Amino acid sequence: MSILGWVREIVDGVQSTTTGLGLTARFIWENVTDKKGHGNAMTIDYPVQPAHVPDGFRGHLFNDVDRCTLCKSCQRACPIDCISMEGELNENAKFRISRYDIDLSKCIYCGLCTQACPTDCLTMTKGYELEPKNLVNGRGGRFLFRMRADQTKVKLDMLEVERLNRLTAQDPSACTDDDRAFLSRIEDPEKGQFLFARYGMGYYTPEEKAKVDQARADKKKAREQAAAQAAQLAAEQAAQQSDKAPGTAGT
Amino acid sequence: MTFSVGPVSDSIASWIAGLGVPALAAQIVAVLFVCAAPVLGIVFPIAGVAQYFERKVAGLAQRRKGPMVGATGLVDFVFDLALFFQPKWRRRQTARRFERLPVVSTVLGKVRMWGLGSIAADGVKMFLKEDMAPAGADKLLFHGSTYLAMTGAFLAFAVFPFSQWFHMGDPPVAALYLGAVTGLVAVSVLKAGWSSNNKWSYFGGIRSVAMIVSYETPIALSIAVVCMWSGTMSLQGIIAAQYHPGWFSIAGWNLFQSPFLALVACVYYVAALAECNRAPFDLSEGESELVGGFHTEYSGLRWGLFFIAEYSDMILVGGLFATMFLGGYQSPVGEEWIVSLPPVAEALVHTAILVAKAVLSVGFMMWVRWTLPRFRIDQVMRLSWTKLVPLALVSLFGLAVTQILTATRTGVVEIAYGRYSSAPVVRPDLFSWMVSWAVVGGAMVALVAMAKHWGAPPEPIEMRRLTGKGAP
Repeated sequence: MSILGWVREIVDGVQSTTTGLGLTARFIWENVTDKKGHGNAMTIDYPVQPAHVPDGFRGHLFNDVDRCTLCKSCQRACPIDCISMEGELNENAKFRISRYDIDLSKCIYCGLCTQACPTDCLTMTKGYELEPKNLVNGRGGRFLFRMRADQTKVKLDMLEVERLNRLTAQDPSACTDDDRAFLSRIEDPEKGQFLFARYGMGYYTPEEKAKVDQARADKKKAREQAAAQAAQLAAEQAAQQSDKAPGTAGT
Repeated sequence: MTFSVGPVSDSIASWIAGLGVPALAAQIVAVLFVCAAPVLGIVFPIAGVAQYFERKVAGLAQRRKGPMVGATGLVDFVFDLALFFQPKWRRRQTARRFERLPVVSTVLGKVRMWGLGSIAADGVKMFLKEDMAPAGADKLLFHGSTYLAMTGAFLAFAVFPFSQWFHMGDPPVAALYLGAVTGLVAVSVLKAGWSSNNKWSYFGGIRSVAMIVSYETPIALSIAVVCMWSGTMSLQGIIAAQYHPGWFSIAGWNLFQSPFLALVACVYYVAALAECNRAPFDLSEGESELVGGFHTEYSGLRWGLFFIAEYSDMILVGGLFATMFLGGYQSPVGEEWIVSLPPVAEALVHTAILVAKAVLSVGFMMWVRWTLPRFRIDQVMRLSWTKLVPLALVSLFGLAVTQILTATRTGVVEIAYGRYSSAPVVRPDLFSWMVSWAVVGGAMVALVAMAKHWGAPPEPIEMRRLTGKGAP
């Protein structure tokens, strides 16, 4: 190694070091002297500033119950059976939904139910927070993981559920005093206010989970049994036909 | 029988004695105060706050925001106590409502934005963590090495001049002493690594020792250059030799005396970075390959002692760099007005100046750390033995020649500065100074230009391994 090569190594090292130092100095300077607030850092100050949510983000499900026809396509499309619903005929002899539950503890946010929906009333929003003010309709994120009616201390009948449903869908300022009294009366002393029939059930007790799992297993077994029976029937029919076929060909 | 380490301790002793304390006891307390004040009053606070600034600088340099600890936990805690019998959600709700009050949110926002809570949080965490030693560890060495790490850093402060009147001692061989005690870092790191019963710790310790032993050489050579220029090995003498009367006292600083001294200052700083295990030389704690290096197994306050030792080393290096090249505690805008102050006031002003220089150096080290990636062990060794040592030797001989040539023209002088007068030193007049900078600086610039034109571009080390050409 010649002496000039040796000097060259030192010079290159010093040059690259000073270049890097200049770069970090520029970053620090820009960060410190930024007028807009705390630096021009790339960090998003998330709970204070809104986080960027890309298009096509699959967040919480939202069902526009006024357009829902209770066709149960979503229920069939759901790979993990987290959707359940009930309905009744309204005065125009149309199906009207009275309960629509999405079990958010099971939902995998796959979006298959929204593709199956014929009226496009079931959509995936960009919401992913449980904080009330950040929800789509601006109401009740705390309600998402609420308890079911039979798990709470306050029991509601169907009329009360419907009223609650109606109240939560409308603007809070439009509530009458009677409505407010009603809301405060059904407030759970432990968990605070809760909401029925808009989003699904959250917590299971172990016994209940066992019960639900058992019911699901039974359902699956029945479905498989039916399928097996159908296959058997088809096979028998095919055998009968093939038994007949040579005879007919012969005659 | 009297105890004294200078007028500062004398004034403090007389003040204590005035409170009715026996004279001897007052003197002992005053001397202990003067000895402990630099470490307890200067090094500990800086080391405690340095971690916060380190993280903040890291964040700023990487276009992040750095530490931003909220006071949420504290507010929650207060409301948990205040509303003890309320349900939890009510307590939290009240706390959030309290935080949203205009004044409160402004104050908490500032605390959060600057991340000031992290200082207190770090301290509390360090004190509360469990002190554990791994099974199979050599307990005596494992526990002892933490104290040794601190000892090496703090012993160096024994000869460290904060002011003419404010130091524990000024032995005539202070430079030698410094070289001896700063080497203790290697011992403590090796002991910590060995006694942890952990191969990663051991690798860290071995790497650190290999590196520190290599970098002792350029450090010793650069200190030798400075001692040769100042004609003494006493730190007070080195500072006294940099005295320049008048407002333009920068002209006396060693850094600007000769291009060789400027060169050797760079050599010293790089080598000292390695000596305190700082990035980019922090091989001993290379977290990407060695978990935490030599202090992997340490937790809580024992880890904190290593940490304080590291920052004490950084402050020491900054202070020594200032002492040797930047005029020590002397101000850059004239010295006469400070020297004429009473001893205690003078000590305070000088200490503030020196600490400012040391803190600037610590800041520079942080800047370097968040700029350069960590070196490999072979790169570290090559840098020391093929670059720094030759450069220091060249500076040594070059400066000797400069001194001889200058001395024939100007002779040697003694510089009177306050209580100290320097040893006979060569002080170049303006003509010699300009000639030396023109000739040597011009030669350096010419060499760099020639190297840029004709020097073979350095091959990457991997290419050398593959081709076998140009091996160093």
